[in-house]
Amino acid sequence: MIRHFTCASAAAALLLAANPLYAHTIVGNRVFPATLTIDDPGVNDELALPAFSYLQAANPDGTPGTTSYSLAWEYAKTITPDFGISIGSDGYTWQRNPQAEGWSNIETEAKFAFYQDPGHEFIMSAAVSAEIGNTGSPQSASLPSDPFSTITPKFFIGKGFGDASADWARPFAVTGEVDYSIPTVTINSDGSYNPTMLTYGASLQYSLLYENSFVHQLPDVFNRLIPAFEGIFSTPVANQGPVIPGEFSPYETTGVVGPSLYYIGQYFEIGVMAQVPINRASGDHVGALAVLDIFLDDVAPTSLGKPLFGAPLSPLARY
Amino acid sequence: MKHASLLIAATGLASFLVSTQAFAHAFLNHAEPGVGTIVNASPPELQLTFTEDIVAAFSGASAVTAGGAPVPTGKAVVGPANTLHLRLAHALKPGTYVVSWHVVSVDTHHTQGTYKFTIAP
Repeated sequence: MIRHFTCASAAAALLLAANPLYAHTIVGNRVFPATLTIDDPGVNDELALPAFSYLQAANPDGTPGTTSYSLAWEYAKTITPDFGISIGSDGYTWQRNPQAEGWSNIETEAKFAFYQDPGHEFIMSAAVSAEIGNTGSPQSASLPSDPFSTITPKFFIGKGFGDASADWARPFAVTGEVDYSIPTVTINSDGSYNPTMLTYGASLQYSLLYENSFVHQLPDVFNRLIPAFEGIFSTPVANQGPVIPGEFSPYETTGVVGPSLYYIGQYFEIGVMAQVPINRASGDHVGALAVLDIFLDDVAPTSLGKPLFGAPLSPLARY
Repeated sequence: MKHASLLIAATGLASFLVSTQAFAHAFLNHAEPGVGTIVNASPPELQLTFTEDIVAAFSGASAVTAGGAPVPTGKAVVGPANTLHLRLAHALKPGTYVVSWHVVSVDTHHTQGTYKFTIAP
């Protein structure tokens, strides 16, 4: 039974510690940073390397569960200014209590920004991602990858409030993401279930970058920062499996929320976040997320960093 | 050891990247008088400094009073350090002014914006 507790808490920790895809977006005068809990709504040429996460899980009886550290990565490439593909992984995970480690599966994604309004700093996009089973550590590893694939349709939205009449409101922006993850195998060989998951998250951002340029000039030390508050939640919606006494409910929503801070430079972004579990099934105490995100469209604007077809970034700029 | 190597590599990469400053899109980084500030006297010119190199031929600025009346100025000139200089035809009276700017960065991205400053009575 202890092993079941451990597996459940490890699964919750890995789910929450899993890093989404990363990119930054410019719509009109708004820079949406590559947020840590959800992906930003745009399409871009970027390399997230590394993306670090740390989280300690809890067991249903209140004892500490597994502690996980992971280093993830992702490479995103624009095909047209509005359409891009990416490849990445939750990377390598070191788990303690019990000791285990291994590579996560490879994930690919195709994303289309189907609506952008630079004047109102508004963007919507959609994507489909595929986590490819058995592309990480083998089943013989101490922390094997999932032996099945998962297909996930996604929807993204972003809105900056630079068009607000009140100056205090103009630096604010919000982003959101909703995913529906469908495993290709619903029942494993050991009888355990792979639930279909609804994952949803949002960020509230206050851009000191925007405030400095358009509302009130700030000291240099602050004018490239974007503080935010964000969260991500996952709810099993199908194929949850039976309720087992003494284990976390297969119907329970898990998630983390917390403050984050992003520094935006020309060629990179650094982001850090304290992730606070929303309940015991989500974790035992505050974890951490961090990313170094390299803007390839700025590092190599005429080669690697531009779309294969179409003018680079023209729909995102404000003329 | 793996952790240490990764940390060293990440730190080295971050150090390299931190040494660069600018945006692919040119945003207003600093202005004189400052964005949203209150100053005691009229400056001889308005200065707008941007986060990356801008193209003089496609960049400019203008100013109006809070009531929308144009402020007479010379032609905007791009100087060193990505700074746009807008010489005022005469000293500004106390009041709030709105500055509008538009620039094209050297990598062809366009940005524009407005901000206010106030000259105290």
